[in-house]
Amino acid sequence: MTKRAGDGLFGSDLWEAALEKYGSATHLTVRLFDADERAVFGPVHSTPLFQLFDETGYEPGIFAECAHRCIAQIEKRPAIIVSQFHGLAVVGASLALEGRVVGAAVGGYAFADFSQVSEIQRLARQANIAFERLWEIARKQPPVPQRRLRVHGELLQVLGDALLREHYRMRQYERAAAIVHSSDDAIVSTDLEGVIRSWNSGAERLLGYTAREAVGEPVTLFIPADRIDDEQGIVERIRRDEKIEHYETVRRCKDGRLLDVSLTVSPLTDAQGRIVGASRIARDITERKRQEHHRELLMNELNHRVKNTLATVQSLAMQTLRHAATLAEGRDSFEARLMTLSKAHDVLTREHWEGADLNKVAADAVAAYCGDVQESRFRVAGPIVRLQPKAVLALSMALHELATNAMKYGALSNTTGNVEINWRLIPGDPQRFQLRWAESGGPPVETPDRRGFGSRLVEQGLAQDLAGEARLTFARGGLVCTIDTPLDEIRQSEPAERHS
Amino acid sequence: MRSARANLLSGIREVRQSRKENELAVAASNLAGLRALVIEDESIVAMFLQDTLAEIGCEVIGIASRFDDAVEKVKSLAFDIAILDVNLNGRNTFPIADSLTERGVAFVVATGYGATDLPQSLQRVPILQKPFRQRDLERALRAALI
Repeated sequence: MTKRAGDGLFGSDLWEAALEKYGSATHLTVRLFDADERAVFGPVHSTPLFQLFDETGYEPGIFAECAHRCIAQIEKRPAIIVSQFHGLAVVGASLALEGRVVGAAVGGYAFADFSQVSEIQRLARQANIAFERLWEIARKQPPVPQRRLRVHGELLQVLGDALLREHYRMRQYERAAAIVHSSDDAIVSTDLEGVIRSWNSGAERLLGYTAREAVGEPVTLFIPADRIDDEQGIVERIRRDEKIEHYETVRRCKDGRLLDVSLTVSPLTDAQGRIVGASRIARDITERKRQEHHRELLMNELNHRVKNTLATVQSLAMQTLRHAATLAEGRDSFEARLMTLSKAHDVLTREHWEGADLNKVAADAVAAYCGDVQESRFRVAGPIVRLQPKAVLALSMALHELATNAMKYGALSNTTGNVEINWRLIPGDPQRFQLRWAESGGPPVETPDRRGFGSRLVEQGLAQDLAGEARLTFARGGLVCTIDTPLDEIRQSEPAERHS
Repeated sequence: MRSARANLLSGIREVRQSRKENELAVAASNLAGLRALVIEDESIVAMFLQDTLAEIGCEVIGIASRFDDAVEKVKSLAFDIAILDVNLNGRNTFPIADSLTERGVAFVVATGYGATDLPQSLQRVPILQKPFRQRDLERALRAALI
């Protein structure tokens, strides 16, 4: 038997078994052709005569011709070809699936029926000689009546269609099963009593139970105790043939962990359309929930920052106005302070609010006072220090106040004064940070009788924000400001610490 | 019928009257001389609170801008009222609020967050929503002292 590996449609064992049965009842041989008229299955022999065709390599060619007629749909009824030359009649039926011709089944019928001849075994042994003699005998027989052939053709058609449909249904089923199997979602079927009937690998991954552990157990296996009432409602709706879509709930894993899922429950029906159970698809939405939560946190944080910044700006405005001699002066000071705060925010925003280099902070603070003439009037020096955001804001504000004061009364109020800004790290436990602002070459310094908001911003505000000390000394030769604080209070923490 | 209605109206009037008296009593209650502890991490805001409290007549006996510092000052200082920022350098101050409640000290919670984000234990504490006006601060202080 030369069964070729045909395409999936004709390759199943189902065909072979069915055709053997059909053939033995009608003494035929059957071949199957695909839509391209290639023989893809069979011949399935039932009579030894047709076996001889194969053994002698005899190919009458009318099987292919008949298949062509069927596939090209030249005739409406089963195509029948009767060949006196071959002593052979063939009948073909086109095979259609979902309205498309996918091939043809062709049955061959010898004029003579040798299946009952007793010496057939002997004849077969001498095939080469016997075949010609056999053939001569066959040709002399009357042809098979057309009516009988037509009935066989119709039978072939019914058989082919039924098999194809069955085959197609199986393939659909296999495809669906493959989808269920490979899905990341947990797909579980239950009967109407809520007993688990199937459990895919997605369910194994998400919920932790193997199919062996879960099948046969009640569905409450993975429903948390406080959600069991929901389950009753689900079963009632399923009985009413309702589908429940995208219902967000919680399921319990084998290890007790609770899992956020989006659940879809649909009724399952049998072949008669009766509801026999439910399919439950649970999708893991942990990640989505996490992102929602994260977004909420960010919104809260943003709101908090905005409100706090507004409170800071309000405080700046109120205190600036409170200390201002005139409205114009108050307006200018407030504007300058607001701009300083805003620039410090810019620096931090560029650094994703992680921190900034002190060098950069100091350079920015004095930049506004480094005109062409005054460019060389600042000496800024110190080791690299990464500041945390709070220290950046505090130092920016303080340096601004010092520079403003120097412009009005100090070293920057004449053409000869200078400002030195130095900082250093003092080893020890805790390691300390010291910064010194020292003016020289300005007009003689008088200790003011009244401290303004600027002094307070430096002495009280800076000390508080840096958790250290800040002192203003009105030395005769120039104002000196010293800051002394534990380095850890102002330094940007290491990334590992930040995320811990 | 008429007398029932009259009774009802006079009842309402009485309630209104007593509520008004209550408010007046609170308004008149002198905030001057109160010793206040300011727990706030934004130094500029702390200074503003300090000045505003001084204007009301309160005495600011301490400012804490760090969590540990605040815990320490709550324990060691004697004061009549505290203004507590809900968040100090990213750390929530609910434990400090709890210890103030335990000690029976009146306090106001200052926050940029909405009141709904506060835990159940703080739902009855007066909220000072940032930014605030002097009269908001006064009202919150009075509410805390009732």
